[in-house]
Amino acid sequence: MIAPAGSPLAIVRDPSSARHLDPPAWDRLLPQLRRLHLHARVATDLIRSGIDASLPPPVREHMRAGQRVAAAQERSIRWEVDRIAAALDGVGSDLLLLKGAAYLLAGLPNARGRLTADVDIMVERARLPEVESALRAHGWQAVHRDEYDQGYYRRWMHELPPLRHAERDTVVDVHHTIFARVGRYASDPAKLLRRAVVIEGDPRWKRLCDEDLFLHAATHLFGEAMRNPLRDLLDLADLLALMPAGLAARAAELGLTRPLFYAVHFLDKILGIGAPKDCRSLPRPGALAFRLMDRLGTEAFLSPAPRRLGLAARAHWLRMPPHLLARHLARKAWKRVRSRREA
Amino acid sequence: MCPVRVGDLASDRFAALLGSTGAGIRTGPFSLRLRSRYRSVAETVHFLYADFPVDEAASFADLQVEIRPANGLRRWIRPQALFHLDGEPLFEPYPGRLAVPLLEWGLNWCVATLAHQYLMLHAAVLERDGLAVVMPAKPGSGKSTLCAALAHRGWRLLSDEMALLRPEDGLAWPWPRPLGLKNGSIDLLRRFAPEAAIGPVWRDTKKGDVAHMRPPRESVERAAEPAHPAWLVFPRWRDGSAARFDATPKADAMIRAADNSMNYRGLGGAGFETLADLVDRCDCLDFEYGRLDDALAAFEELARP
Repeated sequence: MIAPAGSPLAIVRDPSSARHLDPPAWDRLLPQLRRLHLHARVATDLIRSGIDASLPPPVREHMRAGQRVAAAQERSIRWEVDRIAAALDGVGSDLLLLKGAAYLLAGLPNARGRLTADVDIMVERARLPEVESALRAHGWQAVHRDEYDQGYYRRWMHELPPLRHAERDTVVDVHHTIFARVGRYASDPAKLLRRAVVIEGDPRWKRLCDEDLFLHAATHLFGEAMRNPLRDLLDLADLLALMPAGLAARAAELGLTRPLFYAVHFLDKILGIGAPKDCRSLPRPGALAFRLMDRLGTEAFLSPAPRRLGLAARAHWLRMPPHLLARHLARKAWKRVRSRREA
Repeated sequence: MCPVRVGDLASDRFAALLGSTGAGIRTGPFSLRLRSRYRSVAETVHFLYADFPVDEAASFADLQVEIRPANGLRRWIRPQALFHLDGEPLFEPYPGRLAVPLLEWGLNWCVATLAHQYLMLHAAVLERDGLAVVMPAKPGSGKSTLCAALAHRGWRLLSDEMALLRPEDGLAWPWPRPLGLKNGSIDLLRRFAPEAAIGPVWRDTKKGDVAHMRPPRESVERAAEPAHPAWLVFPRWRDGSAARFDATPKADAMIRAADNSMNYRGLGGAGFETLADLVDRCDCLDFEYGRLDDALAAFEELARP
């Protein structure tokens, strides 16, 4: 896929192409980068490589601001992770960092300028009650007060309802596995925990092994509504570069071959990154499913304002079996009608 | 050649610009491209921003803002206005009749969340003979009233809302904008400075009645000139109080200033250095006052070499 000059895609694929952009091009590009939550990453890349010196002066100001945002985010996640570890000291579970926090503490390249709202952690399912009460005792509180929302997470999802710290306003998502437990990509958490590795910089924490890190990112991207499509695809690109062979075998073991297939497909199609050897003959989805996902995904990665309805519907579909989903959506619709009437 | 100013454009031409491609307006370090079809926005911006330069062929805008009506039923029943930045709505919808306060408030929010090239304090900043007084304060402290009064008595306004301190040079950079006045201080200012150009009063906002005062022309013309911070003043209005300055310990001043900063934490080491430098080079003072005239006399005294 050829990325048009001055598009977000072109700039993340080749930051040095920023040199050739004039002010009108930046006028179009910067708002898009901000919407995609990529401005801090681009700012970090351009400043590190010295390219920012050749940018129009007002754009340099934005790059400086973006770099500061990146640094602030990093500091805040490190501190949050430290506080969570302190709160969970002695709960008797392995503690894993997932996604952004894991990339950062493990020193992986995709952590640079990566903007996230929440810290995601994973613990053993049997220890969830202890973990939750320890966090509550240290100042975290439920974001959703509604009983049904609470139940939705607890019975069907792969995480507790999000908890927000009362003073710092930061949110932690406590997972016990990496995809909805009643969903299509549910995988056995014991298998994930068995191969988790200790994070060198902070041995209180573990993270998923390299392959699982990639597969989790792929499952998250292609199993959910793609809210940060390009950022998440860049995660996959950066992680793939570190990867030994063995993705395909591990995906088969965890039942995650489908998300791996789409990861490989879109890395090639959107970023021009060739598939690793063992991923070149993965079982394909049905022709119709593939065409649908190809269209929805391509639009999500390339369009400045993608329509998300199709992806949101697909994410719901993957997260719950049909009978549960029907009940859940009916319930949500009823609640919307009621709250509108009350308002 | 003088730049074209907003006030130089006929008001209907300005309204047409706002309603189509958007009007480029230079506000201090930030260029704004504003779009809106609200008549209240066109008329009030034309009035309040009259002295601001127009970037007619602006090829790059720092802030791309649109104030637009919410769609659907809300176009007709209790209409609502939305603040769009970068083409996306930022806040909960606001009553359509308050589109102007929404714009002013939203612009502050945008800079507070985007402009991390500066250490930002919620503070009024004014200058005399190259020296700046920085006045951090919480809402309700009488900061804006005092600031509006000083801006009409020989002090150059840099901002009534936000101190922009550059970590590289420690200077205070101007961001002149319309000054927000609330409730009783609207009439107080009218009496105090009959020459002040004050826009419409917007009733029953979240903060009560709100009106905006056009910043003095000089402050807009000199918007590219920074000033050296010399005084860090914590103002407090108290009914019946005589105007007086009291020295406050520098360590306390540092903590109180940090408490009024939007991004002190976010800037990390640079934030600490910049703020410590500010506190170091400034006289740090508490200021209490009951009457504007007394306050102005006290500030005259302060500025005397």
